Amino acid sequence: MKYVAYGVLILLTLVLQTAGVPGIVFFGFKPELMLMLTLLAGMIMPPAEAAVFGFFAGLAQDLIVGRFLTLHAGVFVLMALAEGFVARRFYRENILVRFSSLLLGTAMGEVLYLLGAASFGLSRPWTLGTWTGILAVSVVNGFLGALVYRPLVRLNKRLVYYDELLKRTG
Amino acid sequence: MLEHILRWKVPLIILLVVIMVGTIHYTSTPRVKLSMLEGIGRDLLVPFQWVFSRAQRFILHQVDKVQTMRTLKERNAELEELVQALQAEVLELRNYKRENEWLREALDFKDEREHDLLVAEVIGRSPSNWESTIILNKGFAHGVHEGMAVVTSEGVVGTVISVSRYSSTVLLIVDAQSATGGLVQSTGDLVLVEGGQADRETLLAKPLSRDTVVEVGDVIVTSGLSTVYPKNMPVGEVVAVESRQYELSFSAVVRPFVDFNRLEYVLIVLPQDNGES
Repeated sequence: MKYVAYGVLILLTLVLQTAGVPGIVFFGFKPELMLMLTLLAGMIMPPAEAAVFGFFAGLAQDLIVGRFLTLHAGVFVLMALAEGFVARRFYRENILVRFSSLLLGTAMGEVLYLLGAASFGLSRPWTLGTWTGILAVSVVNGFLGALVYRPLVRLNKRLVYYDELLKRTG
Repeated sequence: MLEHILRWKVPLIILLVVIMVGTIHYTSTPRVKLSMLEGIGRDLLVPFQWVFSRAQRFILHQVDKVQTMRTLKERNAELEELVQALQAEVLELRNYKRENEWLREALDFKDEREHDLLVAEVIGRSPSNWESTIILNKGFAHGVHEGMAVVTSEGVVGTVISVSRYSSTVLLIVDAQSATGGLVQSTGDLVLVEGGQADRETLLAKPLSRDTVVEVGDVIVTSGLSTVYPKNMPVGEVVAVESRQYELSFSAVVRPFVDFNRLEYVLIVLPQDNGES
């Protein structure tokens, strides 16, 4: 049940992201909701589970709108693991810590994606515009992610509870 | 059992990485057809994307309506004036059209219309900030194929890069991977119009010859030299001319006529044989 709910969450986020996320644009850049969701999963879930979540979130994005199949999947796995590694060492309940780690995570994820895409032929000049873009997306993701964290933790707790209940009652 | 799995963990991860790199490499080259999984995934999402884009459009239109309510009266008077002026112009153009048809007939010219157009709705956009693509609600079930041009009445939008049964993805001309043959309308000089500008809203026109003359205000249209775009489709207007460093050449910044943020419906250019218009 928990995994079905995660799947629905990934699909909903993807639909919302492809619909253009109305109104949320910062310096002409929109938030990367799937990356944000993966980073939050990295904070909330155990590392292995977060990595699997990141893989399927990235794969869904690659399958439906991506240009390189499994590139997002690979980047998201790495970012989920890295975010989990950082979150376990710092006090993630603090909104500033959450904001900064989401900001850094998004920036790293974007750089990794651009490097990956460049090594497979989709190169982009590393101009000031590109770096401004990375910074803008990271700030938007940081703000949004820091706000969404608590509701997502509550949702995950409820899902884990119902999942356990379902297992025990058969 | 767990130890047995853990012993295989490292080789499994290496195998997975190799498979992923192979898949990325395979999909990075131009493909005629999407994989079955990609096709199914994209088609499954079409209804949801359609509903979301409709809901989003409805909300934006309502907001727009409220905002324009105040200026409605003034605008109405302006438009009535404009309608009258346009009606007079239409009458004049009808006369020209009749005269043109008569002259063409007299000169035995062929009908220049070589393409049929298919109307498609924009149901999604690329979730990534680094790719400028849109998703349309028409796929190969409607006769759409990779490489077809997508336009609006305002000008060129882009090219179809992948098609599933009920949807297609269009690479916008502002994307870094896009390059279109164009010409300066006033002089007829050829230019190469490229996307990938930092603001993701303008294009860069590079001259193909040293004698090319481009000035601010010039209109760039498609050259028709490639088989993708019909000839003389408006691309954009030159807003700045910049000289390139260490080169004797220059490049022109072009603002496209199409507002890519407000695209709702587009026209896919079909070869005339495909029939659906």
